[in-house]
Amino acid sequence: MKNLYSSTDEQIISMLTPKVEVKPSADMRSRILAAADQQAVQQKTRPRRLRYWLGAAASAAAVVAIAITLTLNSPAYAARKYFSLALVVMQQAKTMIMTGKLRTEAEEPIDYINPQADFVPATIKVIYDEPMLFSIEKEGGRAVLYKGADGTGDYVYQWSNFNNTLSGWKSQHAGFVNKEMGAILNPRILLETEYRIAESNKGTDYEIIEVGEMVIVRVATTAQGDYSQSDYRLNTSLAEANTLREYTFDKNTGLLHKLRIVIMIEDKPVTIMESESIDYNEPLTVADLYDKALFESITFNDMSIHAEASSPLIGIEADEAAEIILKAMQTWDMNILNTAMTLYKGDTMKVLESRYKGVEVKSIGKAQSSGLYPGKFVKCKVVMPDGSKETLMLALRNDNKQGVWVVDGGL
Amino acid sequence: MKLNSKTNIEQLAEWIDEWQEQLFRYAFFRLGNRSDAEDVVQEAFLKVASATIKPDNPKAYLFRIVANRSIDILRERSRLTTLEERIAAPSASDDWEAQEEYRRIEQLLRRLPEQQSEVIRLHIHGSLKFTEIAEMLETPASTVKSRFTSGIERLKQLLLN
Repeated sequence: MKNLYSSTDEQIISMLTPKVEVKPSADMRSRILAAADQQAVQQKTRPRRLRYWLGAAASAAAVVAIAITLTLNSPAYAARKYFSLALVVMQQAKTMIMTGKLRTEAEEPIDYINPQADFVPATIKVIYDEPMLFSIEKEGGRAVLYKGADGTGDYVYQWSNFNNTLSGWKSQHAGFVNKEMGAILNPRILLETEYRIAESNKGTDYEIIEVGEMVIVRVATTAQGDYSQSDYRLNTSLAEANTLREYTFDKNTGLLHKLRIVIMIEDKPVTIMESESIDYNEPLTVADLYDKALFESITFNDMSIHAEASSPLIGIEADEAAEIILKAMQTWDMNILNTAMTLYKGDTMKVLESRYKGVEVKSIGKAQSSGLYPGKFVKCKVVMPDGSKETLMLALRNDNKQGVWVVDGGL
Repeated sequence: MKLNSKTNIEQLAEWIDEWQEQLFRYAFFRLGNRSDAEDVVQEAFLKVASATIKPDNPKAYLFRIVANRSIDILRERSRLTTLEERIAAPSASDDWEAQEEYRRIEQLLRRLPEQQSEVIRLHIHGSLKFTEIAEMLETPASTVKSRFTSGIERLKQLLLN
């Protein structure tokens, strides 16, 4: 261009030339090729329908016009627009209070769902600060308070007041609220996630329904995770279920007005979570997130995992760990159990000791993965101290800094 | 042409390798965001893949589809103006700098007639030669070049005088 244009022309051309390099996403090529492959298969397997449409269209130009209109008005495209708009307006929100109901059991962990259970009322309160502070409370059962309560923001506190028996745990990680519950309690994360899913438009179906001043965006997705070894985890969390998520947006403000999540069990829809109200920018302080007097009366067990580098529960397979742990339970060997049972403290350990001390291992099954669970499930046949035979499905995980296997469930 | 054999998939892969960056860059600076730009580029490749008659000039064909679809999307957006305006604020995405750059350049190009700004976009952002733009727009190359120089001249008068 240098020889063709004057220096002032060059100056203008330079102003119009991007100074930032933009490149398509690394996976765009593979996405297009996969879609083209699928398109070719569809063309092959549906010749009659194709001929019908070709016959109905007056010309090739008409076919192009139909294709363009369908894509422009596609539900995925529209859904992405609504998620995008809601995200922008929700950046302005300072607080959020969501009330609703969950099919769960009040005393179970906060992310546990059970399609057979009754609804339990729940309240989520969020202060969008740095760090973000929130509480989730299942009426009459578990509550979680994320940061803020100890003034340092280091711990996530969880407690249960089920049957008026207070138990509390604290942990420096928040695995139990970082997944789908984390997304639900922070609509920004939820909508961002949905936006990305709509953007990739993979394995997801959309439906848009306009009702007066509201627009309902329905998103249907299949269960995430691998169930080839075991379907034990299927339908135990929102991510590990075939779900239909229904977002109602206010067309005037762009804000999320209502949220409903349905899971499909053998094609039968079961509402698992439904909001009753979502209020933004209500005056909220940390003191409003929890009952301070109750909180201060609880002894919180530290769930942080500490193991000696020489622990026999490091560097082995899950089924080997199961055997070591069950054998340690036979003599109630605290050298092993202190680490292996980190997630069971206080009175719970006394109950477990009375139940399992003297247990005899008969067989240990092969460790299996299921769904999104980061650990393994091991089926163990045991003879209980009273002589009865039982089959336990031990949930073991080693996704901690030291890679030590600990019992996460099944007792 | 139908993409119903390995040969045709391989042909498509070659076209993607050759032109996806040019098409994406043009679409990005036409639409201002990655997702819409990738959508229209993907759509164009799928369109060429499913075309019953092989286009004589696939590159021009692809650019024509991307350009037309971009216009459709921009029209669609204009129907959502009130809320869309809020999107105009910089986002926290990875493309923040590129989006800023898009806004800067778009402010300049909006001062020009559409025919001039479109030729400038295709030439500078799409890296198309004037002869390629001429084929794409089915317009004489001399007209294309004239639109480009007129556009530059007009901006020069507006900005430098």
